[in-house]
Amino acid sequence: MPEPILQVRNLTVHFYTYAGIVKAIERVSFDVYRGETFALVGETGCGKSVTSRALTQLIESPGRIVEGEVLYHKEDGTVVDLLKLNEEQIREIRGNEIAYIFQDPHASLDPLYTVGYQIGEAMEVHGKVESIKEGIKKAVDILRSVLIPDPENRVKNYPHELSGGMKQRVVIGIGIANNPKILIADEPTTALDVTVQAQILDLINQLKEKYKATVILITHNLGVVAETADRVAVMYAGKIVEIGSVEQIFKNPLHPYTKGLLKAVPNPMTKIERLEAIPGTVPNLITPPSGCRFHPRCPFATEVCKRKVPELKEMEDGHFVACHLY
Amino acid sequence: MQEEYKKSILDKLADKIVYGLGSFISLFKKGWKEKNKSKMEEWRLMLYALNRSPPALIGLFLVILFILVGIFGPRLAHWRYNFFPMLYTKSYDKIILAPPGSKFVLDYYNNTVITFPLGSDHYGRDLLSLILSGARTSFVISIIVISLGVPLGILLGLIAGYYGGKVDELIMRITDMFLAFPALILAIALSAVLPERIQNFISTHEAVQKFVLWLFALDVREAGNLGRLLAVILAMIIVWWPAYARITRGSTLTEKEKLYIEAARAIGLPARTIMFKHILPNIIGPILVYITLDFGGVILMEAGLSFLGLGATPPIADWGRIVYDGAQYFPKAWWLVFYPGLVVMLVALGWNLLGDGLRDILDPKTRRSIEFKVKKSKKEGEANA
Amino acid sequence: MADLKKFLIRRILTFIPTIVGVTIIVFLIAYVIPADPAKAWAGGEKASPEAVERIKERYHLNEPWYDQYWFLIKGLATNTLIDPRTSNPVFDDIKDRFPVTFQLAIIAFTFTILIGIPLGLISALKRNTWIDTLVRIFALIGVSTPVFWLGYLLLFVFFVKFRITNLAGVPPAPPVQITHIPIIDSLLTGNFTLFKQHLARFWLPGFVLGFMGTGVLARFVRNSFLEALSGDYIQFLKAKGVPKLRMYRHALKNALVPIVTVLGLQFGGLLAGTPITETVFALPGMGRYAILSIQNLDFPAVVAITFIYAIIYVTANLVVDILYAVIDPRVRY
Repeated sequence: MPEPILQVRNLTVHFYTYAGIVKAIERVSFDVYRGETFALVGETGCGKSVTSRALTQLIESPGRIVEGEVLYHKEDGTVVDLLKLNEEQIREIRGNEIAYIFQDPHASLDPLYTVGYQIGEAMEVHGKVESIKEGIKKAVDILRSVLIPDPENRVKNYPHELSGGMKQRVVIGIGIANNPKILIADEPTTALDVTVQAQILDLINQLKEKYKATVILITHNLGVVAETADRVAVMYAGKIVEIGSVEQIFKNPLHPYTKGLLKAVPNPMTKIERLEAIPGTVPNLITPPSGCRFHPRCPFATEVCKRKVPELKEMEDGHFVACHLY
Repeated sequence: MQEEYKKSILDKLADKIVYGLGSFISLFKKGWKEKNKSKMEEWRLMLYALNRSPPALIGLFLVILFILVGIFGPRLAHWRYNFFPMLYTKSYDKIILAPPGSKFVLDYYNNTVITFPLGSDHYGRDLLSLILSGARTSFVISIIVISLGVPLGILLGLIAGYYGGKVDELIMRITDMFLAFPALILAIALSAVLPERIQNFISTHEAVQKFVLWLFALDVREAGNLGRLLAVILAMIIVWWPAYARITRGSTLTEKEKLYIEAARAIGLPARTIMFKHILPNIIGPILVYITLDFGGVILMEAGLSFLGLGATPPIADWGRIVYDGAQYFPKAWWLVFYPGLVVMLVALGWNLLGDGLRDILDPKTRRSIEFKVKKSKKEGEANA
Repeated sequence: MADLKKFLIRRILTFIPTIVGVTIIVFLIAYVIPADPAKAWAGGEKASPEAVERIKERYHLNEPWYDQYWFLIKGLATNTLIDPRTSNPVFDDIKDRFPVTFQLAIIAFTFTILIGIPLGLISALKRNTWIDTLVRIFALIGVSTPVFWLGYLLLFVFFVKFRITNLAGVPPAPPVQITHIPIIDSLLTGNFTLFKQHLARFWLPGFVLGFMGTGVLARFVRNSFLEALSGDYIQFLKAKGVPKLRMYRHALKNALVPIVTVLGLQFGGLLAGTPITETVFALPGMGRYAILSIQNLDFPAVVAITFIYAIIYVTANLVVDILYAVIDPRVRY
């Protein structure tokens, strides 16, 4: 039995906007095991980014974490609920034990400071170095470990002097600067050129091995998932519809949405004749469909799907699905 | 057509204005109203949004009041600006600088009683009448400065931005030359050197002179002072256009890069059509906001210039000039400083409130929240029905 | 840093054409636009024909335009332009009045910054509360209030009613002059009595002059700070575990880029407001002198003062651009 590092239970986040309450994610539950790469997959706007940020309370007004628990198993065996920590306690965990890599490297870095300063700062705020000056010296090693050539000179560069791929390496460098236990990579390759994407994914994998970290990978790209993830959670309209190992999900998808998703993109594991689109559109999260949120688009929908919210059920070992068909 | 909104009187007025405008344009362009339904719908929504913003409404009220007094002020004023009561009374030494609320009998003027609700000036003139007549001066000057200075700036900015290269370089260098001076300083210098030449011109062109006198509602006797008045106008036009040239050029440059402009060029539309029919309508929104705010700016600058003794000369009624003359008797005759200044402030405030409100309506970010407010009241209307 | 140096050189080089542009406009004002500059300079209608002729001779008004232009530039550069009314070189007459104006502008600017920036930050941090609304109203009233009106209003309160300030003359400059701005010099030389005297005379006009820009600056600081705070990199800093105060520091530095530009424009606005403020508070500054010169048809003085105002303004803009480059590495190349 693998040992869990993160247990998420009933995580719910709402955004209070002029138009109404946006129920971005609703009662999301999943486990992440120590040392694995866990992928959260879904279309744009399905709530995967919100989920990843809610883990360490990174939700800005008008958003609010309405309920839920995020149990984090520390290395020393103690368990804390990350959502119960106060501002200072959660700050000490962010970037230190749980680090993030954001989607757009062009926007993630402060344009007015050198990259060395920004890496040094990440170490300094967690007391890993005495001063930012010392941090900048250490930043050279970090830049080297994220495979940036000529790191001695690059530390003195400003973000605008680097290419997109280089910037994302710096962002990753900031992420790993404090040797985090969990690295949350939120669409780390979406904003980059195709040629650079593979390099960045490779790098994340290498670093994961090197530092024995757990990676939570948020992506809409099933190819990336198949290549790098151990386990996958599929999200639709703010809910998790299916969780399983990569094998289980790709070879034996159970949820109609997962099936549709796999037919809509070239499946890396099985050969399919023709790509098919899922009919209908993503629902409005202010007034989401009753019962199963997928039912208006589901070819197998029955009366019960409109009435009852399906719970996650374990169909085979470690393979969960939330669907009334099973 | 089924009406689903819960409407205030102002909303109904907005409907009337928009539909009236549509019918009016249709008089000249047949079928305009039918073709531009969505545009009119958008205008209607904008006016609804305006109706839901109290500061903007206060601004609109002040502005309308200013325009009305600007047009009818000289008629509303009980006494003409060049009526000197001190000539018609024995107690002429008391009638000058009389405090607010005082009354006098003009014994050489059929014993008419003259009251000074806001006091009198150093010629014994009624301050209230002067302020009402002075609205015309302020109004005409601001209209002329904006309607000549702004289009000039926009035109040059469009040309510079659209053609680029040497044309751009030349226009922008000239613009920069003017922008190197603090605006009021340049206006002061120009107002000082311009009058003589303008006066020479006016004196030799009787039609122009008559027209200007009519604009400002002045008697022929003031013909000799028109040069100074027009000098201020010209000076302000000269300092006003460069800012617009720069703003317009900037937005033209970004607009020019967009695909639809490239497409328009590709199908060979003439430059003039692209500039005025395609670029201008798309960049005019923020410029309109600037114009509204700048009306307040022009009025303030005009008041400032005449407060420094430039421009209007007595007996012409002008808010800044009243303060300039009255300041010598400050603080004894405080009303000569207080009331005209207050009026200048209220008018400028009106334009600024309106401009601020317009900016909120035109800015997509804040506009969304306003539209939701409108829709909310629409829902409430449905519930009531 | 090397690119900063290159930027500085390039920026200072563009300063030269700007100055040339300024002289061209000054030339237009002085020699071209007046119907008959000689008559005006000699004192207008009452000038005798001989005097007019002498003036024409002395100011090269019979020569072609390029000669006149060269004469003007040379006159401004070497202070050989003689004021026809006082018979002094023009800058000699302005010399004593310049520090008054500059000191007034500096004090007003200090007020604007000291009140405007903190107010804007508070407004941003307490956004959509009554403080925010109050700042918005303050900004609107600020841009709508005529300087002269506010001046007289406050004069009434502080001078007529409470006698907290005085209007007579200007305190002397300290014996040792470093910057030639009396209030700064008296502070630098530790002459606190004199510093107090200057402050007593200048705080009210300074406040009045600075009032207009304060609310606008506060509003602008608020918007830029909020804009900076909404940046992705702020979210990333939070994800890095950076404490709140340090996050605000990052946001503030980013917000400073547009704020510095606005400060430059506001300094221009302050300069432009000095003639009115000096008139209200009877300060013997450059602006007041310009107005008196206009009344006396003393155009060379007007021209010289206009020129100096422009020079101060473009220099302020130069400083802004340099600050801009120091703060933001992206503009340096």
